[in-house]
Amino acid sequence: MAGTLSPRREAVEEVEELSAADPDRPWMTIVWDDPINLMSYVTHVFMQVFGYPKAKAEKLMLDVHHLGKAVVSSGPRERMELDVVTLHGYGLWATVQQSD
Amino acid sequence: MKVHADGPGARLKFSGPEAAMLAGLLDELIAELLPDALDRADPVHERLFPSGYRDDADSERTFRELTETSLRDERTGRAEQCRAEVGVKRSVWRSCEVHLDAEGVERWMRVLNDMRLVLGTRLAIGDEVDYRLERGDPQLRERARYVWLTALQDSLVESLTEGT
Repeated sequence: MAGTLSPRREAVEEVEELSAADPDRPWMTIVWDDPINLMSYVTHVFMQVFGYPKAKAEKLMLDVHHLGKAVVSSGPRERMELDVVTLHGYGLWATVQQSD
Repeated sequence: MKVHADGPGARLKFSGPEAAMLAGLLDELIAELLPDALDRADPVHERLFPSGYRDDADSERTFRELTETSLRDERTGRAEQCRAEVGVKRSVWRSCEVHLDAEGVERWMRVLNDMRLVLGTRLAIGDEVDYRLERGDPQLRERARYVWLTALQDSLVESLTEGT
């Protein structure tokens, strides 16, 4: 149980940062690690879907790989759902989550 | 199998046996994507159409109802287009070359990924992928195909960097 607590606390901290920047954006898109998608492909998808520069896309990909998941975008719920569907279309394992 | 960067696009070259195998794999993917082809409890179904919500069954149901059909149609459309580019079925497959623009490269990458998701899930590929192929492995054929698709997809992603 202790193992699951610390990542959860990290996620909450990150969300607080986001809510402070924009209180109307309490939703986020999370990408989860999976053993099939290639690291190079996942980086490409983040660049293609979000228009992130390569360095940012690579960092997010490595976060997914090493930490098991990463918040790849945040904003209104409808937009997050759209991001998740788009990522599913690329074969990535993504979910919508409210920050609370 | 050869992949050459070609500006923003790419050229793919396949030998006759490779073209035959690829056509077969694409046909299988297209068949798996038919509505009701996969049981909902099949891990492959869950991998192609994953949950959008982890701990919210109501939101998940609505999300799925709104998205699954279009996701399925888009996947099928892309796979059919790639299948058409590999060519029509012949008694003996000849080598083939596929010329792709930037959009085509993107589409092929995604379809190759879909095929890898299906095969990889069936093979229960884990974090430590063992790319060694061993005689006597009852899944040798599938494993070899998975490795081949991985190499092809990797080369295609690689070609994007070369092309720019």
